[in-house]
Amino acid sequence: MGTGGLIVGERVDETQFEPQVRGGTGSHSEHERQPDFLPDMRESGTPNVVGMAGLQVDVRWVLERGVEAIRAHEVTLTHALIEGLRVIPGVAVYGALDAELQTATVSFNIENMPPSEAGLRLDDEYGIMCRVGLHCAPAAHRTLGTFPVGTVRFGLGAFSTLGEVETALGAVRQLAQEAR
Amino acid sequence: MSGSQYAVFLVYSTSYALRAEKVLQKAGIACKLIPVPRHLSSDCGVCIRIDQADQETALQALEAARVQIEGVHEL
Repeated sequence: MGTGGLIVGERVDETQFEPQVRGGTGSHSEHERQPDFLPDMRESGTPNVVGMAGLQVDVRWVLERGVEAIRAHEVTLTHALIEGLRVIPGVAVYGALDAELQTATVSFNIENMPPSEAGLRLDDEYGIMCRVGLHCAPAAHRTLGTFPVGTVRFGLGAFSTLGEVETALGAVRQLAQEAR
Repeated sequence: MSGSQYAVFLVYSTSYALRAEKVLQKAGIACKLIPVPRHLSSDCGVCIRIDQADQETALQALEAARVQIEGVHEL
């Protein structure tokens, strides 16, 4: 069950667009069709209440902490990760290599170790989660020159810490050394 | 016994992989979801890894539960 949102502007005549599927009405149970007023006319069936409650807490948290502060934290960690990976012998890091110019995901490869093996060992031996392969983005990997092998990708976020980045770097250092 | 220790089952989708894991666990067969090894496919999903000794039992359990397998490989 997902949560979707629809923003309807004032200039929109909401009676003019038809939904793909209607019902159940959610409020006027005696009718086969949706009520003709908002928001009921766009809210068929059972709302994902738990999902929406979670989304509300998320949004509140982001607003409280501030988008800028979250981004600054990510840039700090991304910078540390990129710079740490770059100096490991046998590791190739891809992308802009500039934390200010990219999101908080960093792609890399370990020489002589396919991404699938690196990912499995990071999970198995170090408890580090990552995404390996083509990331459902074959065109991006063709651009990087990493198609069809792909890369290992670490993703950082608001809850990641510098200590975790250090742990991850230590794990990659060890794997790269073994693979040489 | 041959040189390899594991057998890998490739499946058509991640939901099959999750179902296979459930079926095998229920059948008491040790298994692990792992990233699809690069030399088997460029697919970036997961596949099932089991001990090679369990291969026949596992295939039977999966067939009984109608989980389709795309391919079986040694690892």
